[in-house]
Amino acid sequence: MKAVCFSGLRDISVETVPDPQIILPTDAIVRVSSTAICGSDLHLYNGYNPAMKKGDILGHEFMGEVVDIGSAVKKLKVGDRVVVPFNIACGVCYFCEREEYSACELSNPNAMDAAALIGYPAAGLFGYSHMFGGYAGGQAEYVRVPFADVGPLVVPDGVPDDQLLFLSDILPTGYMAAENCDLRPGATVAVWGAGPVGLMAALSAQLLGADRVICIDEVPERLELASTRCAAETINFAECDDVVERIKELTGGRGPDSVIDAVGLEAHGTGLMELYDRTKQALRLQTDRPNALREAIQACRPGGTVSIPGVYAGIIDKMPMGSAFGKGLTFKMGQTHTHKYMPLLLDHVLAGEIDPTFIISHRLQLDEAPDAYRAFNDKDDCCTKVVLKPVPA
Amino acid sequence: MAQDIQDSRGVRVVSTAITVRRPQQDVYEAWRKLSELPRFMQHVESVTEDGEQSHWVVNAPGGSVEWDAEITADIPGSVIRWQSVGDADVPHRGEIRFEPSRQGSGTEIFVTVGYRPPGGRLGIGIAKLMGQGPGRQMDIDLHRFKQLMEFGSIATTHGQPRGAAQHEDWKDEQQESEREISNPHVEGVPA
Repeated sequence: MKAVCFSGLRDISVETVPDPQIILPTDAIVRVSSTAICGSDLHLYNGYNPAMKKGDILGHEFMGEVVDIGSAVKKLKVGDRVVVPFNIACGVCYFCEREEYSACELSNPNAMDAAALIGYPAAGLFGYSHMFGGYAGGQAEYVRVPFADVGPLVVPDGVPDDQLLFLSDILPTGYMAAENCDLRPGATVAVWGAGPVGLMAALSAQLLGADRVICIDEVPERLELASTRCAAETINFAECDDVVERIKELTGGRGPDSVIDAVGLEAHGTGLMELYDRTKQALRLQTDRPNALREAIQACRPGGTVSIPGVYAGIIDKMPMGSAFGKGLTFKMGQTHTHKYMPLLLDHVLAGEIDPTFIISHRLQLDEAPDAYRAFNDKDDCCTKVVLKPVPA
Repeated sequence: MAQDIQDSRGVRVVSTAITVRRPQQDVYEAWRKLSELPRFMQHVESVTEDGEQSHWVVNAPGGSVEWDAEITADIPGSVIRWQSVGDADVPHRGEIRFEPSRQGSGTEIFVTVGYRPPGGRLGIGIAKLMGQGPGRQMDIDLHRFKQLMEFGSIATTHGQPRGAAQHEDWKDEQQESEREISNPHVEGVPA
């Protein structure tokens, strides 16, 4: 089969590799009908994950048809149309039972490598390096799905892939970010990053009762989507002297009730802090650039909530902890408990309450992955989200 | 994660803990069947029980390491202590203790091993075998034990496709030969 492989720093290749097989009796094999490139794939592309190996198959947003199941798979059937969550969960451990699937204790065979590298035994992820299990990803024609009775969500025929694909990651991620805001009716939420996750968070916040959503970004077409498709007010930080002050102006001087950092460790910014972060990151003195998070903390109203779906990987610097403490902020963050949110969000999609297809800017063949990664990374050609279609066999 | 300290007499003491969601007695019994330990201990080739004693064969770079051990205390459901006997390559003693979990159901397992680090070629071989230290290997093996007890099999990617450029710079041996490992005693998950 064809698969998108990591070949080194900003180097992606499409290779012919053996088809995946059932390895454990709880596995299934899915023939991929659609797969997307996630913003977090760009962290791998840009070399921020030391546990990537050349030849690793990428991709954690995918859906398709079940073509084979192991002898112990009970719920899933061959022929089922499924969306597969990006994180891998066993369904039986302490955390899975609490629906905290992203903390699954059993799905990562290399959990102790994760513990050594990042300080905790993280759960397995598709296509996201050996510290997260080394599982081959879904940017391929076929993918092996472990714990097949736990993750894949069976979806009905007759609804296009484009409406369902994002149940695998960014829609639940945006939704959990909004839920983490503890929104009350009439609340105002500011969202840093109008990329796919930020836009999903903006939509979800309104679904959960927010009255006003303010999106902050510098990419005009993303701000346009926030404005036209998510009914958000927008701030272009590149055209703004002081983002924090601008947000306070928009909120009567007090600040939003909740703030969402949908940017994470590769934030772009302006000014001295941006230069400081880039320098420290280049010198490996800090692993992450927390520009967006700093602004979010400074902008949030006293007693408000800071929700962080943006990915952080390691150590950050110059956190305005005094401001967070003084204002009594609540922080909620973390990898999405995708499995928990998928059925609910499928209902919203089927009811026509959420249609995430507007974020797709590019529909390409799997073969075109190297160009797609480059365009998405450089935000060329108004690239907000790429969906790849494996070439039919 | 494991702690690794050296005491004033040159004995290294490694300790760690893990919680397994199975009753104390089940967890104890799984450990007490010494011949079954290689199912989750990555580098242990075999353990042969002979009365009070057991014979251990461990794969190490450049050959295998062997020793005899005896159980010095055995309180069903709560503790097993052992020590190496005779002319062991790595003289050591250890304890594994089982207590009810204080976070819901299950068993907290505490392992402590004291050993004298060997020198020479053997020492180098064992050091390589243990990667970044015996504590880390202990954590890996306990995590594998936990998977076997809670789910019935050990998660693996061994045998999955990968691109041609795959370098062997990551420890692939970690996942070798474990695709058949499963626990027939866990309900609902056939071997």
